[in-house]
Amino acid sequence: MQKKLAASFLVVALLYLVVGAAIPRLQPDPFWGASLELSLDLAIGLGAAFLVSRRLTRRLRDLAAATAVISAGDLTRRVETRGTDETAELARSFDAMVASLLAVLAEVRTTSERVAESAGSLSSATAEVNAATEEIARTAEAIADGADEQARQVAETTATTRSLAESTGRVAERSRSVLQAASSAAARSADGAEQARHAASGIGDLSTRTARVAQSVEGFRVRAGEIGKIVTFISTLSHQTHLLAINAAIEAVRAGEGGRGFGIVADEVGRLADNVRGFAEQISTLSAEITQDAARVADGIRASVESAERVRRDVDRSAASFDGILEAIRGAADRAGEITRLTDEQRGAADDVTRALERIQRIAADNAAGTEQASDATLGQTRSMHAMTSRAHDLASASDQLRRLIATFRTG
Amino acid sequence: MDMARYLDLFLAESAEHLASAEATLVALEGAPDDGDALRRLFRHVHSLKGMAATMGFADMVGVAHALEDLLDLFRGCGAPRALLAYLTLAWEALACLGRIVDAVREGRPGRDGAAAPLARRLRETAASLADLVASRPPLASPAPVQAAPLPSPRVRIPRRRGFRVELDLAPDMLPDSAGAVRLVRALGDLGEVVHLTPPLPLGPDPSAGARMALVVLTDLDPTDLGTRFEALGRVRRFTLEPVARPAPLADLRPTPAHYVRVRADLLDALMQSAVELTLAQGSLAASVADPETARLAERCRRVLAAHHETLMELRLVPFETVAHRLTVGVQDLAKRLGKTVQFTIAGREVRLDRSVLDALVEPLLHVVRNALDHGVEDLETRIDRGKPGPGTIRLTLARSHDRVRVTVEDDGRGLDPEALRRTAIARGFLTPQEADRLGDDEAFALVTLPGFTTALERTEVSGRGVGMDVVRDAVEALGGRVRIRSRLGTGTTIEMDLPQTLAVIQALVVRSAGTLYAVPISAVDRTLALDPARTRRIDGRTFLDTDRGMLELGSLAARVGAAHSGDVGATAAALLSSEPGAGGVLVDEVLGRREILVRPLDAPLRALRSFTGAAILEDGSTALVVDPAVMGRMPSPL
Amino acid sequence: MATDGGPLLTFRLSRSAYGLPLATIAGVAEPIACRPVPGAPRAVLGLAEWRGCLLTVVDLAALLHETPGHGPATLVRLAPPLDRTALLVGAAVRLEPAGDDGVTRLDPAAVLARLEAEIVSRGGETSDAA
Repeated sequence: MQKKLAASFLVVALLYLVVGAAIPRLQPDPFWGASLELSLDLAIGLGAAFLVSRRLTRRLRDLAAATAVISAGDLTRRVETRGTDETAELARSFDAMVASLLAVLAEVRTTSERVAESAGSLSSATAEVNAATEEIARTAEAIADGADEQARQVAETTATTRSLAESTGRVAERSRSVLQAASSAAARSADGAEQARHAASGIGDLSTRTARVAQSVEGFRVRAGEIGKIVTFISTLSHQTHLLAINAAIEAVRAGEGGRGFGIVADEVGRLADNVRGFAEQISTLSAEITQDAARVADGIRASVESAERVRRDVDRSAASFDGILEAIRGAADRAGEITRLTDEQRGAADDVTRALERIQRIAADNAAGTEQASDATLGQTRSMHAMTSRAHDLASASDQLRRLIATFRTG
Repeated sequence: MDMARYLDLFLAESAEHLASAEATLVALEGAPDDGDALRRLFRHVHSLKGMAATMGFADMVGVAHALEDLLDLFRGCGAPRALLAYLTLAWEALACLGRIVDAVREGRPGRDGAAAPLARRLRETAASLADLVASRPPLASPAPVQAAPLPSPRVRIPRRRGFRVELDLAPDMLPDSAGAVRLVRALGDLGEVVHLTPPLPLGPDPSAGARMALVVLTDLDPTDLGTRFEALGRVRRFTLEPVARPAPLADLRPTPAHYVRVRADLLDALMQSAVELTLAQGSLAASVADPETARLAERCRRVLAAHHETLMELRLVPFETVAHRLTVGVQDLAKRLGKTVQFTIAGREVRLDRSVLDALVEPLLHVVRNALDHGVEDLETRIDRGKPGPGTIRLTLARSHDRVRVTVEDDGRGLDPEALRRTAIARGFLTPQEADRLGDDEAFALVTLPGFTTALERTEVSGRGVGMDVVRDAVEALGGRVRIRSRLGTGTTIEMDLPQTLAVIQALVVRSAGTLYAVPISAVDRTLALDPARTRRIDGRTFLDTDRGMLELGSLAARVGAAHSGDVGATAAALLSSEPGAGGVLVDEVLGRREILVRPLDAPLRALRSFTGAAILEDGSTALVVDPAVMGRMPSPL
Repeated sequence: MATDGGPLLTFRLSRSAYGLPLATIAGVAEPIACRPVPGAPRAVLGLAEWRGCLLTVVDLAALLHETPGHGPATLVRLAPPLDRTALLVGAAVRLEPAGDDGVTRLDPAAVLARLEAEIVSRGGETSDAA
């Protein structure tokens, strides 16, 4: 505060100096200059005093307002503590006092809540113990009832187990006959597989023979093609002969009268060549047809070879599936044997169960007697538990009262 | 004695003598008056006889001896031409000798069944001829090469006489040539038939067999002969004429000329079939795998090559056939001009292709007459200049390989190179500078420029050379060149270098755009591998930088009108035209130089201007012969 | 185009039947390989070597603006003076003593003269290919 005051003073002094120096330059007239200087100095002095006093009173007013609020019970209110002057010192001490008060109140409230809680839980614990004791009493009765029921059921179970053992015996009997049937089926399947293999090799022979036929048909076709070639050659020859005949006829014409006879011969040769060509064409057509037919036959044979091959593959597959059946039958027989063995074991186990059940019946009767004694002890316990419950209720209402009291303070 | 060695010697020498004897006999057929040839033939036969005697081949000795005697008879009487009638016999004898030599070569005994009868026939013929020779007067042969000594007295002369017989045959035996053969056999019983027309075997042509003419040597007298002919039954009519005089004997062969006239088209046909044979042989040889057959094919090839050459020779005509025309032409002009001139022709025997000779006669006549007209001075001038009074014009022909050089030389006033230069300048042919650079020989060549000689004619120095441009055109059209040499005041020489034949030319076979062409060598200056670094392409036109300057090239295929092939391959080459200033053509490949037989193109292709003909190459493919003008032709705008 | 009567070599092209007088023919043969001649009209198939002769082979069908008929093609060599020219006939040929009314008689010389005139009119050096 002192520093601020000193600073204010320095500022005012500086302003005075500034005014004193500036006025004579601005207003050369000495009278007006002195008047102006005086009024300005006065204004500066008043302004500085106002600013300083206003700052001091505002802080003290704030502190008083805070004290009023806190005394009304609101401990959450804080006061302005900034600054280094005496007012700030006072505010800080006040603030520390409120904080201590707040801490004490929080401690009390926590403690009273804990007491109320303990009283609640004590009362609920006694209630639970009560309920449990009642439950035990009810259970003891139920056990007594259940033991009877149990004895009855064990007797029933024993009877059922006996009938199970009997039916298991029958299953074992049947499994044995399945086993027998399976072995005869296996024998028949083996036969079937054998026959399928026979069939397959027979079909294989057939397709080999067919392939041989196909080969000879192919050879036939090739030869027919050769005939075609030869015929083509004959056609070429006859064409050449035809041309030669024409040439001969031309020569004959050139020879004039003397060539007439020659011309006739040339004509004959030409006609012959034409005939040969005609025949050659016929043969060519025939041979083409033969080639085509042979090709068709070859195609048919190829198809039949292929289908025989397919059949052979099918038969092979069926032989294989006979093998599969055999395998499956053998598996079934094995399993039937297994079942027989298991059912035998099962019957033994059922007998054991029956014996165990008879033992259980005896123990259940012993249990029923024990349970009645326990039920009596439980009733005494229930009574003391009720007394404890009323004490717990008292404690709980006291801690409630304390909690309400603390709640009058605002703490957060 | 090492017989094997002698046998080899015998085989080698006898083969040589036989070949020479055959060649000589061929020569004698062409020139029966050649006494030298007859003497050579005699010597060969004599040598054969001696060799055969050494080796002890009796049959060979017998035949050779008899032939020798017969030849000696002709040699002795100096009338070798008469031998013509007995050529068949001589050929038979040589064939027989050849057979014996072949037999010896193949390890068989040196004998021949036909030898003994043949020797007998030879002896008999010689004997009967000796009879005739003895009774003949001195021979009046046109130019007896050899003085005719009297016949050798060694020959025994039997009492035989010759008769010329003409028979008209009965038509019923025709056209059966076998009947005719039987008839001649029957005639043979009468005596020796030495000449028969037509010769056996009779052709299928029946009309030829209706008449027969023969000369028969017989002991029988004419009356007896007549009865025998009548007895033959097949003869309808006959005439008998004794041939005791030698003149009819000489007439037996009515073509005493040195050369046989042959129809040119027949020669062409023969040539064609020869080419066909060569081609067929080529494909035969290519398809033969068997070594023995291959050897035979090779033998065929050699024979065919010789045959081909002979045929080419056949087309050749001796210059002599036109010599007379030239002589007459010169003497006519000399008479008209009042000049005396000695015109000589050397090398008359040089032969040229008929077509070359035909095309040459007129230009040659022109040159010779020019020499007389403008070259040879009149008598006074010649005497003034100290020259002999009669002028001399010498025409010389010389053959070298397949070219013939024709030279016309005169001892006239010669050409004045200075005057020629002056005229060239005056007529605007040359600038004075160009004329100065011109050598004398080049100055003489000026007279072959079109229009130049007409200019000369008007000047005082008419010299000679009028119409020389025409001469040059003709010679160059034949694939030849003209060269003129002269010495002022001494004389002028005109040389013409010509191909011997026209039909066969040297050509480059090239490929352009997949087609084969033959470019005449004469049209090509040289071939160049196409160097990209020296090739320029300007506006799609191709130029080649050569030492002749930038020359424009065009694809040969494009120039002859085929579709343009685009780019040329790696083997591309340029053919530069031999025409100065002209460019050249590009081809894809040069296959090589070939000698080709040019065949003219026929209708309708003869209208194509790019080709002068076509040729068949050895492998049977055809190549079009490019007109030389195509080489320099500007490429047609694409 | 007509010539006097006499035997004919007849053949049938796509549109009509033709006959060549036997007197104009040197012989018939099977077709041979030709080498084309640049610049020649399309109807000229080219040059071929036939037994040592050079033959100019002309496609008759093309010349007559026809297309080939049935049967194997035949090479018809012409008689002198056209003996170095052959016509390729794209059809089977046969001999007939005299032409029927339906047969067009051809004169080879006239047909070829027309072709030659065609070449000449084009200056002898242009070509169909250009």
